[in-house]
Order: sequence, then structure tokens, then C-alpha cells
Amino acid sequence: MTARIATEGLDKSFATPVLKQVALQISPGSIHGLVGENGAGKSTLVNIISGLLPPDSGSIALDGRSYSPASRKAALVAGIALASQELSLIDTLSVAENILLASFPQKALGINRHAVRQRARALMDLVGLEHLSPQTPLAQLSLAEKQLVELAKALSMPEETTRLLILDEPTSALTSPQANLLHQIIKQRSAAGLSVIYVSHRLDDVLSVCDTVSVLRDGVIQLTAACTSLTSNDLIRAMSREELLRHSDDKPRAFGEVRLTVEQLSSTDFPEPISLHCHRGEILGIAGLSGAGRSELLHAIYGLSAERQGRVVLHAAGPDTVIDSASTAANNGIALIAEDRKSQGIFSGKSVSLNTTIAGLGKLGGALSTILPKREQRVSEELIAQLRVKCEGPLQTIDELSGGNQQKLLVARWLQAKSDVWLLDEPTRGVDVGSKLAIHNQLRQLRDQGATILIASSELEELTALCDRILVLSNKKAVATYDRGQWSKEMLLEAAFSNYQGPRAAAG
Amino acid sequence: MTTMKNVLSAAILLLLAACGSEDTTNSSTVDGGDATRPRVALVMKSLANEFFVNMANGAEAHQAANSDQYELLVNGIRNESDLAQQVSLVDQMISSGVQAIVIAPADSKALVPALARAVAAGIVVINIDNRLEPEVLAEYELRIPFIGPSNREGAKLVGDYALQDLDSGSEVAILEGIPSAFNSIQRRTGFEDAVAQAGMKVVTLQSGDWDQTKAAQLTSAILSQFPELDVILAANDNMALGAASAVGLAALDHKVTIAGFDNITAIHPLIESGAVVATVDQFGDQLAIFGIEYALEVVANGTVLQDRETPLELITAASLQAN
Amino acid sequence: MLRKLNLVFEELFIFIALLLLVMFFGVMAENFFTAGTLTAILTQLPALTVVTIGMTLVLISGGIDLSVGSVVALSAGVIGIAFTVFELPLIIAAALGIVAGGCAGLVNGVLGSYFRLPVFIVTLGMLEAGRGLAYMVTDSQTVYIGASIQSLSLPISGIGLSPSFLVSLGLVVLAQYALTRTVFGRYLIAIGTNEQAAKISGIRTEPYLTWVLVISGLLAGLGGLMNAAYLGASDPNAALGLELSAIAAAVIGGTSLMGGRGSIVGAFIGVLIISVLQNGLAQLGVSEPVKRVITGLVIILAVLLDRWRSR
Repeated sequence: MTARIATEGLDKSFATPVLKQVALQISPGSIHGLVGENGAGKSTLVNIISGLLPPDSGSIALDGRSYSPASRKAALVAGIALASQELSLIDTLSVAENILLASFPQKALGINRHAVRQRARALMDLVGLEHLSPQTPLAQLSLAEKQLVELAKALSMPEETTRLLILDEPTSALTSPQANLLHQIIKQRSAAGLSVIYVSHRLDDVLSVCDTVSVLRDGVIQLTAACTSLTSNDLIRAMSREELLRHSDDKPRAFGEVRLTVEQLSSTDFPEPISLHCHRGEILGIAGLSGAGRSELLHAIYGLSAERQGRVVLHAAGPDTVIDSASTAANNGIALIAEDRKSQGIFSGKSVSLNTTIAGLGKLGGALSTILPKREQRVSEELIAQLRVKCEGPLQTIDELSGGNQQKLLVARWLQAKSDVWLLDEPTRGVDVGSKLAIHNQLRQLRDQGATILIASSELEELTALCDRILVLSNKKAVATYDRGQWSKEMLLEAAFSNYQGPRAAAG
Repeated sequence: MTTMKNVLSAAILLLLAACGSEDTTNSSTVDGGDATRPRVALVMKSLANEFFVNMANGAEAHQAANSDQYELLVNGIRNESDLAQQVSLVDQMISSGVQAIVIAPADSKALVPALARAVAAGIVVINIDNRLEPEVLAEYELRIPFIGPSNREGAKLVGDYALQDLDSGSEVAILEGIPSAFNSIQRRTGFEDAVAQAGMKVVTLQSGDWDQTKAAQLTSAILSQFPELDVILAANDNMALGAASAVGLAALDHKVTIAGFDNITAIHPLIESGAVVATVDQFGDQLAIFGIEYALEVVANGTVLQDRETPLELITAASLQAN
Repeated sequence: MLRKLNLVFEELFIFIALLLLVMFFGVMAENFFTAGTLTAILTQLPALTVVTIGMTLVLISGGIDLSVGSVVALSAGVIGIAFTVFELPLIIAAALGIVAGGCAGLVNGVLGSYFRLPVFIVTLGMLEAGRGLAYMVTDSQTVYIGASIQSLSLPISGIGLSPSFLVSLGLVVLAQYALTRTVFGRYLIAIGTNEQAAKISGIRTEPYLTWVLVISGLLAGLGGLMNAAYLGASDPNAALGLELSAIAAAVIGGTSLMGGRGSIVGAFIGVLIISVLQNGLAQLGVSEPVKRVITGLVIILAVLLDRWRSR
């Protein structure tokens, strides 16, 4: 049987080689997993197949015929659908317009609005967005909902002409029910003959959904095999030279004094006041379903929310500090690493070094204080080495780094600012297993040095592995707090669902 | 959401304020409401330009002295090239029901259709300052009398004076205004007449857009290209001022004779010091009055429409001293 | 090789473009390579230079200042009236003009950052209001000031450069230093690149966004002084459309209209390109329409060159 898509000897270099002689074959109707650490070359491979990048050399065949798309549009015409990790959506358009952007139903004059709504409605119902109106502006959606819109957009191409669907980290922001629905959809489509490339860090997902899987490491395919013959440890071993195994000790630990107190904090995003406290040397987890208010709580603590009420107090050896704005927070040792790295974290187009030192500059003194480039670069180099960031050096543009390495630089930024209270929102979203464990170890190390850490995460495994206590939010309300050793996954889930009424809210 | 709304409404308010200011600062009504007196609208070019400000002030003073005779509405546009605004001013005047419009058109062609509407509405239209194109008027079968000085003669007058004592081999540069404007063309032609008569050569003709800074920059460039330049004839005094400052900065070893046009106050010190030799006064402050008087005559007696020429006077150091 | 050179001197390409332009006019216009041309260019560019410095900083912070041309006229008017009508010493009159510019910038800045109005709209309003104030101050008449102020534009004997030019050159160096080597400059770049990330990094954006507009206003005020010194007179119609020349110079010099990227030295080279172009075309005696077409094409070409460079 002719392969649906076959690549032969693909090479691609930016500053350094990213893909080396990649040969990949995917049969019609098969779901093919693609895994590897961040920076292994997955996104580049996907971008080449979907027409966003040309390869330096090598060839691709689509159903046996030579295929070299000049643009994304050419790839679309050839039948390649893509749901990208960096969402390709437009905030100012409605959900319906976003979904059908590439293929608006036309009338004699202009767009057929009725058909747009109907087709969008059908696709939205399919991916589990029944509760939204097609007219909702995209900007009002949560990240998880946007991810589902991206999926709907990829599925909007007519089934008969779609030959390959590429999903790049499709579930990174989704809850398990949402992810399950997604998996059902692609299994149905593949049974009807569609081929799928499924890129993910969630190895269990890959093994359960995919028929075959390839592992990329440093731009080279290490392994291609049927999923039935593999375990996630096999994949991890192929991805990395190190043995990556989670370790978590279940003993409650002793903390220092209270460092952060939140009293009756509320904002427009969560009207019901929330109180909490966190000690030195403690990791407090914030659990909840997507949209439960995890990010909003962290942002409010940091002083960013609109109509914020209540008090956030930072305790220190000297007098207490009331946190009333982001700059007070940052300059008194609080760090916030927001969920959306691109829009709230990195300074795109700027050097690694600028990105690393920006938060620490506030401690230099006045606005007219001098920045010494040599010193700045040395500081960045030290942090790059300390956090093992994969990059060419402090002058490289941050955009050229992989997601995981960008995330490490955000940690470096706050280390440089001498922060000791950390507010982390999905610190390992879209990050490969290796980087994830490195970040976890870094956090444990910080904790052992006396840092106070709050982590919001959609992955319960992450929280149970790391945290000393877990606060559960449900539908914008704090419902329970558990100490280490007291919780079970079932208890946490039950709490997370407890404040939703009706089945629809629970699904979202 | 609410902040968004606030921003929007504030922005709209600000825009309104910006637009409103055009209309309010540039227009004023002198005396109000008596239906028996004829209402005359004076539609000016830029009320930011001294020449037109004087013209408007003259008209307002005249009206104040003859307030029993007529009512006056003065309107101007923001800058001399904003045609659209002047067209809409004419339309506003038509709908406000004036008996006569005295207009200094910003463009000698583009205003004709609007003025045709005014004539059709039974309004007496008098053209001052900048003559409407006769061919275009003919096309609309309009007779709109032009009251004003001959710019060409004025330019010839000042040109002759500036060139009278110079060698016939002297090099002359002309700075014209906006190349498409009727006055600019007339003044340039007048200068060219004077240069031809003196048997000299125009080495370069450039547009300074009536603007002082632009004229100064152009003059610097011209002086680099033609270091032997002897004369600069500028189509208005602002450009003459700019030329004089550039000549001063260039620190040449010979004298450059500069002449202007319009007789604005700021040129006087330069004429007294000799940096500028002469300018022409076309009695701009009287010009609107001539137009208004003629308009009133037509409204009252139905006088036959005919062009009228107004006086010109050469201003030199000697004539300034005499005053 | 090019990439390396580029790292050493980011403005290299635009500088080469300037040289090409100079060479072109040198061949085409017979008297272009003269001291006269150089003096003419150096005498007329200080006002545009200082205004462009302010504009570049504002653009880097992610804003825009459309009011600079009007503020130049306002400042010039204030100086002219203070000196001739109120007979204040020139230095006081000059200070008043610059302060007037700073006040306009302060209004822009406070409305833009503390009241959260779009800077584009606020400075558009100031473009109108500032021009109106300039007419009011001067009673719409050109004010003749005379030789005393022109000494700022005349070359100092021995150096051959005017005080205005030296000041503007000094400000280019100072602003480039502030942009690349101080926390202030770094914060402007950060805010212009990603305002939300800047806030999360602990930067209070409002004072910086206000200050940058105040600086732009002060520099426009200084531009007014330089313009008055150049003309020996205050022209209320001066600097019409100067904001567009300043934006063009900044963009030619590699400044992004989206914010976050730009260089003062580059913008200065942009000013030089515009001045050389104006002078060269005037010397060639090119007609006004052709001049405009060529100026427009050069701006577009320069930006194309910059795009090609940054790839």
C-alpha cells in the first residue's frame, strides 16, 4: 500500500541543524504519534509538512506523488489540515469566523452568514463547545476553549478532501473529558481513512490513541514502532539518555514561618472572597478544572486584577508589605510566571539576555541607572548554565528557543530578581518530560532553600508529586484544602467538580 | 468592557472637540438677527495666515462702522489647501440663506461647482483675491465678477524694482508658492516678465509651498548649487523671510537681492535693514471690503456684473520711512 | 560575514544607503560636494533631529506622537512673543518655549497612560490644539526676531558647526546611551515589546509612558527654538507635517511602528537621508511632484532594505 505521506532525507537547519535525514512513513487511516523533548525538531517537521517552512533538502510524497508546498495555502489545497500548538486564531473575530476562516461558505455576493453559523455550530458541537454561541468573540474564550476552536478549525475542511490531519499538542490545555472527546473524534475520522499526526508530551495519551509512534531526538528519528509493543518508559528512554522517573516522597515536611497571607481576596473574575496562606519552604498547589479560576487567583494575588478587594500581605523579618500592584509584588520578591508564555511572559524578538535580566533591573535603583552589557551577559550566561538552557548564548533571540527553554528563562528571570515567593501558572504546559522533571527539581531545590511556592496546574499528577498542600478551586470558589498524605486523586477530583451545577458546566 | 466604552466615548469626545474647534475658532458672526438687512458671507482662505486675518479684520471693522447696512458672517478654512472644507463652507452658507457670498477661493477651479449652486439659489457671488478660472466658469455658464489686484502686475512691479540697478548678466532664482494656485502662477509669470525685460536669466524655479522653513531650506540648497546667485524673487513675504535667513546663514561674500509680496509686518525690519529690498501691498485688508461693497451694490441695485481691479503699492525702505 | 558586521553595527546598511545617496547627488549635481552644501544641510537639520529623537523613543515604547509639528510651532511662537513683545532675555524666552513643549507632552502623557486613552487619538487632538495655540500666541502673524537668535544657527568660528547642530548631535549620543545603557531605555523597549509581560516583570508602565511623551514634548519645544533660530523668526505655520518626516526618519533608521525596536543613531541617519535628499533634489532643480514621488520611494526602499537586513 502506498503511504499517505512519506518523507525522505529531510534536512533543516536554522543556526544549527534541527532535522537530520528524517524519513517518516504514515499509512492511510493510521494515527501516528510523534514524541520527543522540546527542541527535538517536532514542530519543525510539522511545519515543513504543513507548508509553513521549506526543507533545506529531502523530499515528501503525498499518496505516492511528489509534494512540495510553497505555502500553507498550497498545503491546505493538497488536503493537509493543521491544529497548531501556537494557536492560529484571531482574537477580534467570532468563534464561527475563526473556525471557517480558511473556507468561508460563499454566496453570489460576500459571505453566506447563515451557512457560516450552521457549519460552525455543527463543528462546535462535535468538539464539545455546545455551551458557546458561534457569535462569541474569540477573545472571551478560555485557553482550553480556544484550543478546541483550533481543533474545530482544523476539522472544518471537507472530509472527502482532507488527507492528513496534524495535531500539535492538541490537549495541552484540555481537561481529561475534553481530551477523551478529542481522541474519540480522531479515532472515528481515522477509521474513515484519514491519516493523523499526533504530537504530544502526554505519553499515555499517545500510547492509547496512536497506532504507531516515532521518537525524535536532536532532529533524528530514534525509534518508530507500533504502540502496542511499547511502554511510556520505552519512549522516555528513546527520547533521552537519562532515566527519567518521577520521585515523590509521601512524608509531610516541616515548613518555616508564614511568608504570604491572602485575606478575603476577590476580583471581578472570582467574586467570592478567597483566603489562604503559605509558608517558607512550602509548595502550595492550586487545583481545579479549566476555567475554575486558578490563573485569576494567582493574578489577583500578584496585584493585576481589576476591582481587586481584600489584602495580600508579605511577611518578612522587617515590617510587613501589603501587595497592591504588580510592581510592589515584583520588587518585594514575588515572581509570577503566567500561563500564556507568548503574550504574558517573553519579550519576543529580544535577546535571551534582555529577557533574563528585565525583572531584576527594578532593584538597581532609579530609572537612570546604567546597564553594563558585559556584566549583563555574564549574569545571563551563569543562569543559562545553572538552568541548563539550550541556546547559543545570551545574544540569541528568545523566539529561536524551544518552549521548554523559554520557560526555563522565565525562571531564570525571577531567580535573577532574587524572588523567593513564586506564583507559577501551568509551569510545565507544553513542555517535554525531560524539561518537566528539570523544572520540578528546580522547584524542589528552591523550596529547600526556603522559597514559598504556589503552583496552579491542570495536571493532578504534577500537583500530587510536588505539593505540600493542595487548594482546590471549583467554579471560581475555594472548596477544600488538603495536606500531603491526606489526599487521593479521587478526593481532589470530587472537590474540583463539587461546585458545578448541571452536566454542561462540569464538562467545561 | 466598561473601560473600553470609556475609552471609546472619550476618544469620540476628543475628536468632536477637534472637529468643533475648526468650525468655531475660524468663524465668527458679527452682529445678529435683523431680517431686513442683507446678510453677507465672507468665505476666506486660511484664517491662520496674517494676510487673510487682516482682510477679515478689515471687513469686520467696516461692518461695525456700517452695521445698519448689512450683517456679516466670516468663515475661514484651516489651511490654504483644504478645498473640501471650503466647499462645505459654501454649502453651509447657502443653506443658512445669505444674500451674498464674497469668497477668496482656495482653488481656482474646484470651488466653481459649489458656487454654481449658490448662484442657482439666487445668491450674489463675488470673487476676491484668487481669480476663478474663466474657462470653468464658462462651462457652468456663470458670471462671477472678480474684484482684486492683478497679481501679475504686482509681481512685475516688485520685480522691476528689485532688478533695476543690477547687471544684465545677473542670476535670478524664483520661489513660487503651491504650483497649482492661480496667484502663484500669476506672480511667477509677473516675475518672469520682469526678468525677461531686464534681460537676465532665471537659473532655477522652485516651489516653497508659501512656507518659510521650506523656502529657507530650498534657498540653502540653491545657494550651494549657484554660489553666484544675485536675486531671489519670492512669491510671498513668508518665503522671502525664509530666503533672507538662509542667505544670512550662508555668509556669502556678495549681496543677494531679495524681494517679496504681500507686505506683512514681519518683513518690515528686513526691508529697513536692506536684507529684503521690496514687497508689494495689495491692500489685502481692503480687498474684502471692496468685495462686500460691490456685493451690496448688486443686491440693492442689480448692477451689471463686471470685474474690477484694485490698487497695488510698492513698499520699499524709502516708502516705509515716509510713513 | 554580514551577520557579524550587523551585530557590530546594526545601522550599517542604512548608513551605506546614505553614502550611496550622497554619491548619487555628487555625480548628478555639479556643486554638491562643496562646503556650502554641507553647511546648508548641517544648518537645517537640528530641528528635525531633536524632534525625531523624541519620536523614536515614543515609537519604541509602542506609542506615537502626532503633535510634534504643532508643538514646534507653539514653542517657536512662545519664544518669539516672549522675546519681542515681553522683551524677556533670549535665554528665558527659549526656556519658556521648551517648557511649553514639555507641558503639551505632559498632557499627552497623562491622558495617554493614566486615563488610558489611545495615544494616537490624544496626540492627534494635541496636533490640532497645539497649532491653534500657536496661532493664538502669535496672533497668526509671523514674528520677526532677528539676528540675536540666529547666532544659534551660525557656525562657531574655528569649529565650523553651529551650536544648534552640536546640541542636536549631543542629544543623539545621549539618547542612544539612555536607550541602550539605562534602565529607562530598557524599560521602554520592554513595554513596547510586550506591555503585559512588562507589567508582570514589575515595571510600572504609566510613569514611563508619560515620561517618554514629556521628553518628546520637550524635544519638540527645543525643535521650536532651533526652527526660530534657523529662520530668525517665529512662523506659526512652521513645521506643518513635521511629525510625518520624523516618523519617516525613525522608520528609515530601523524603528518599528509596532514598538519595541529602534535606534537613535539609525533615526539620525534617517534624518540625514531626508535632508540630503531634499537638498540634492533642490540642487538638481527637480519639480515639486517628482520630488515628492522620489522622497516617497526612498522611504519605502529604506524600509525594504531594513526588512531584508533583519531576516
